[in-house]
Parts: sequence; C-alpha cells; structure tokens
Amino acid sequence: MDDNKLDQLLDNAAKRWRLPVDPPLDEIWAAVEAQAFDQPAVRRSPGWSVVGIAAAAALVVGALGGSYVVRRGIIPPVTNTVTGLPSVQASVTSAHDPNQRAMAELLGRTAVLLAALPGDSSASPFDPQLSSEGARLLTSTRMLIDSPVGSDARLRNLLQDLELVLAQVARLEPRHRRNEMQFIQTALDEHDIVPRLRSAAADLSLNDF
Amino acid sequence: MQNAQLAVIATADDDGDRSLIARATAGDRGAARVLYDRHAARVFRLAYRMCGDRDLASDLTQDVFVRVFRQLGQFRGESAFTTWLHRVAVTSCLNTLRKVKRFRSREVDIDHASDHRAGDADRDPVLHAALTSAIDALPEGLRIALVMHAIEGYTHVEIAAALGIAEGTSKSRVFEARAKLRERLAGQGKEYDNG
Repeated sequence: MDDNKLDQLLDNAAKRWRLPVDPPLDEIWAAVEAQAFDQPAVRRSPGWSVVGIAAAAALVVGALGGSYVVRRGIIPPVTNTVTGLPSVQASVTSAHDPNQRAMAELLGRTAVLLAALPGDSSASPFDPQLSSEGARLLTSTRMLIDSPVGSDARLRNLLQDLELVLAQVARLEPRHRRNEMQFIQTALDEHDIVPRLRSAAADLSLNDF
Repeated sequence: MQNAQLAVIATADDDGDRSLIARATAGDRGAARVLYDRHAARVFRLAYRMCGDRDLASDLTQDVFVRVFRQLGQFRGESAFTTWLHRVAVTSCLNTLRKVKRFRSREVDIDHASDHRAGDADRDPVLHAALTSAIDALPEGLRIALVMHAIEGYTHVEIAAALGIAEGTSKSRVFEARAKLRERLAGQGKEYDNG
C-alpha cells in the first residue's frame, strides 16, 4: 500500500472508523456532577505518600543489602513470600544477565528518585536535577521494556507504569510543579507502583548478580 | 485557514476557558457545565477511538472530568486548559486500556467484545476489520500518536504535550506507525479503492 492509499484510508477512518454516534454526554455529566461536586474528594493525609515512598526506598536498599548477604553465603537464598505474588526470579533467565542487572539498578534508582520528589505544596524546594534523572531513567525503562526482561508480564506491566510516571517526572518544572505532582501522585496511587517496585526489587535481589 | 486565524481562535477559546474555569472554581456549576460541553465530545471521541467500547469510553470520559473538576482549583493556567485536559485524558486512557488488557485475553479483539451499536459509523466490515486489526496491533506509543494525529487531527504540539514527549518524537512515532500500517495492509489496497 502506498502513501496516497494510506492517506485515503486514514481520511476515511477519520470520518467513519470508530466514530461514536450520539455519545451519552448528558449521562456522563450527571455522573461527573455527582462525583466531582456533590462528594468531597477523598484525600489522604499529605505526609503519607512521602513516608510510604521513603519507606519503599529504604526497603529497596535493604533488599539489595540482603542480596549481598546471600551472595556472601551468610544465609541461603529463599523464595520471596513477602507479597504472595509469583516471584519474577524464576522467569528471569540468568543471574548474570545484564538486563536483569539493569532492571535491578533501574528499580533502585527509581525508588530513590520517587523518595526525593517534593510534595505538591509550593513551599518545598524543587531540584531540577530530579527531572534530568527522570529523563535518564525513562530512557532506561523504555529500553528494558523491549529487552528480554520485558517478556516477564509482571515486570513489563511495572515498567510500563513506571514509564508513565517517569515521563511526567522528566517534564517537571518548578513553575508547573503543583499540578504535575498531583498527576504523578495519582499514577503512583492508582497502580500501586511503590509496593510493586518494592516487591520486584526484593525478588531480583535474591538473584546473585 | 491561515495559521494566524487559527491562533486567534485558539487564543479566544483559551480566554473563554479561563473565564469559565474561574467561575467554575468559584462554585458556578453552570460554568462547569459549559466547560464540559466545550470539551467532552472530543475527549469521548478520542477514548472511543482508542478502545472501541462505548461503555468504556463513557467511563473514561467521566473519570477524566471528575479529576479535572476536582483539581480545577489548582490549575494555574501556565498552559492552555485543553493541554492539561488532554494530558489527563490520554494518561487515563492509556492506564485504563492497560488494565483492561490485563483482564481480557489478548486473543479477544477488544472491539468484538464491546457493545457495537447499529448507529455506529464503522459499518464497512472490510474497513473495520482490517483497520481495527492493523491499528490495534501497533505498539501503544505508536497507536496513540497515530490515532490522535491522523484520525483525530491533533497537532504534534498537542500530542507532545499530552504524552509528555518531544514534538519530534511525536512526528517520528506517527511516521513509524504509518510504515507499520502500510506493511500490515499491503496487498489489501484494492478493498479501499471504493472506500
């Protein structure tokens, strides 16, 4: 198919493909009005997320430390039972796999980055290096999605969710920060990213890499 | 239409939105409704184009506007309201589609599992099946860029803002998506001669 034919097809698609007829906008508005205006927004206490993320970062560091202990033969490796979720350990091919090593590093650095993010109050300072680090981690995340690590469904889902968050962190600017931080916080909350990151890091840390 | 004229219209729309946002934030539900009426159809259409499911598109549109109205007080106006709105919409859309994928088998075409009404415009079975299959087979980043640009008419600047990517990245994604579509639809051109 040549470009002209494709243009024609896409032009037709714009007019005909999945074009909703009579979208139920009044019904949607009724639901929006009830939820957005008639119910108070449920918000967590402001310090919770910061504490949670910091705790996650600490656990990642702890997990990596545990890995060191296992590697030294002080205690034998054990199957992760922290989360009850299937371990990613068995599905990652090799303990010396550079992709696995990169994944572990990415999780650790991402946990540290998330812990370092300021809250959404304008009072807290913002370090522009955070967005630079976010951009670097975003690149690594996208590479890992397309690597053998991405063949593990659990890791791939986590990487895809991290991609969205890191894309927002990479675009953080001091003057836009308040709105952006709310987006980031929402994404973290809705997808349980921090607990999943912690769990994956713990699983990976049990491998001797 | 000339770019200058488009810019004037866009500025007028932004000014109108700002006035409505100020009133809605002060508790004027009528203004909130007008703001919703201005933008809801486009958000719904994008959601429906991406998921092909009327109920899911309704849920997505609802979710987007609930979030937007709850956070309207924090909207500082550094960017256009539409930029912010579509960023929320695209993020919600991608997140929801990922969730849906996790619960539906990959073998099940999301379009076939959805509620297709007789009034929908995608009646041509050849066009529908081939195009749906080709577009849905695109990687997520390419698919959203293609649907937004080639089908919904978003500019690369708008796509870049909504997806949090560079304008050049948006262009390259659309280019790559078109190449993949051409490849996938190769040999089927005759079916579209009358389309």
